[in-house]
Amino acid sequence: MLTVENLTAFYGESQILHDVSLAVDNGGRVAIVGRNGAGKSTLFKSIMNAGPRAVGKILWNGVDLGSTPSYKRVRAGLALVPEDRRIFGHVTVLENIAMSQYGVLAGETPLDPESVIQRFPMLVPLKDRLGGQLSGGQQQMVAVARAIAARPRLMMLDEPTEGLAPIIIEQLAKDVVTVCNENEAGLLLSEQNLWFAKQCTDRVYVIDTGRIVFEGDWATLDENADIKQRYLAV
Amino acid sequence: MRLINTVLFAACLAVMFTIPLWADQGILFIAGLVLVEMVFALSWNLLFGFTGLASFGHAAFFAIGAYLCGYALRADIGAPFLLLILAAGVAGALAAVLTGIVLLRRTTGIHLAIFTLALAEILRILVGYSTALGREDGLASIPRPSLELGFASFDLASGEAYYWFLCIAASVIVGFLWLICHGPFGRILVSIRQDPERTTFMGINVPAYRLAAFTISGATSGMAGALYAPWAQIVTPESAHWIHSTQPMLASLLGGAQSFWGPVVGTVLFSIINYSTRNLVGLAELVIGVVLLVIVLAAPSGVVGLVHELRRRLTARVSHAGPGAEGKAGSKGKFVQEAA
Repeated sequence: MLTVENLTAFYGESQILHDVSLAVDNGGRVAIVGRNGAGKSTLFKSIMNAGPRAVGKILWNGVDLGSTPSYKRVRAGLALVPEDRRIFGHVTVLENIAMSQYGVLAGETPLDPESVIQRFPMLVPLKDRLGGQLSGGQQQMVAVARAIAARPRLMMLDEPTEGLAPIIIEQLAKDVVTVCNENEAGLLLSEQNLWFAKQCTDRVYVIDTGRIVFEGDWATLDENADIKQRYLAV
Repeated sequence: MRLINTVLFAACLAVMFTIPLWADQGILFIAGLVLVEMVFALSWNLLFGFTGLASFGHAAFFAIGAYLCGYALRADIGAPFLLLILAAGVAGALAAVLTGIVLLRRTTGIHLAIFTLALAEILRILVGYSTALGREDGLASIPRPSLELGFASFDLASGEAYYWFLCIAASVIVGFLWLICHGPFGRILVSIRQDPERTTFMGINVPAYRLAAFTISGATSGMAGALYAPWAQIVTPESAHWIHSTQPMLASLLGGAQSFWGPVVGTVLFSIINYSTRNLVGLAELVIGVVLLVIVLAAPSGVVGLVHELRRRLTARVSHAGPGAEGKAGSKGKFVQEAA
């Protein structure tokens, strides 16, 4: 479904990514883990053509996305939930989710916001509250709900657990897996929280200073203590 | 609360429509200018307050509409007045769409503001050289038209008649802008203002929406200019001057740029301050400057924002009074709610 080949990315003169390659199969769930500043967010933004100057190939269902603008990538089935939650404060939770209608694939209809909200029990009593009046965890739920309402083929979550309480992280992990399964959507997850990443995904890439340094399943990573110690230990 | 808002709104409309019945010609003229500037300020604020784009040369679109309408009325080309207003809107939209296509792809911040300012100044200088447009003297003695509606004809030659027409025309344009700002289009514009990147990630074509907002703003500014020309009966290159471009900015910041009605409140207040200080020879500008400074410092979100904040505090105070205080605060609470 998504194939990234030899991607390099720059902010101005600074090279952030160095020949990054990865693949997410149809309906597959993949994690990108690494420390702060490793290049996870830059990778996601490069895939969405939203900021960094990127060189390399990004193939979506076999088609090179080239210079396709971000909004067209969204309409092609890619959904990005950026790391700082980013929901709209001036509209309600339901209206936030309803805005996903602009990102659906051509010929498809978005999911009904009411039905989407039922999948996130924490949001049900908050559906008429303004986005700006929610806590961090609630905003994260709304951001994920809004992404899934557009029925994406691949949902990209950038550090969704950042700043969330453990109990919310636990709930979020369940919700993410459930909605991905129900909608047959793939998942590309950027995380520092290894427990959360393991709960949500099957495969993992470790990124460090803009380079992929490990690729495999979680069991292999767990066996490879050296990689964990060198690139993931705090 | 909604009832109070409705009553206030109706009272404002009543005052606006009855001015010719109780005010002298001087105040009537100022009231007409307020209506025109109100439309102009709202059209500017569609860009700034809703979309997050600042234009420092918006008077150019106003001048295009004013000159088009003034020239056509003086030349007596026989076009219906309503058609002239629409043509002014189309001319403003065309100028805006051309400007937007060139500028919005490259810049949206302070550079856009400076570019629009430069374009407006170029237009003003070009108009000043144009013999057909009266050079620096502009177009004077613009006749007021009559309104042909097919089933009826209204002569707008008198100040009162044209003022009432201004009231209706301004209401229609304001209503149109209100619908735009409070519908899905307006919500997307606010989202773009809050965070263009996040809005893009919703699958929304941000540049296209920005261009659409710029075009609508240019069109309504052009129509404001078309309404102005027969009212003032003169149009000069000063209508494209950067000082005129600052009027909607001051009005919006004074009234509250984040609120739809902020520019309307700001225009009215600005005109009242202007009118009240007209006899302070040499001091008027200073007084206006100080008053504006105080208001902007005391209420960064404008007068409308200040009113909202006061309402919020009053409501919170009433709710904190609690059941124990009901006996004493009951009547006070009712009063506060009604006043808000």
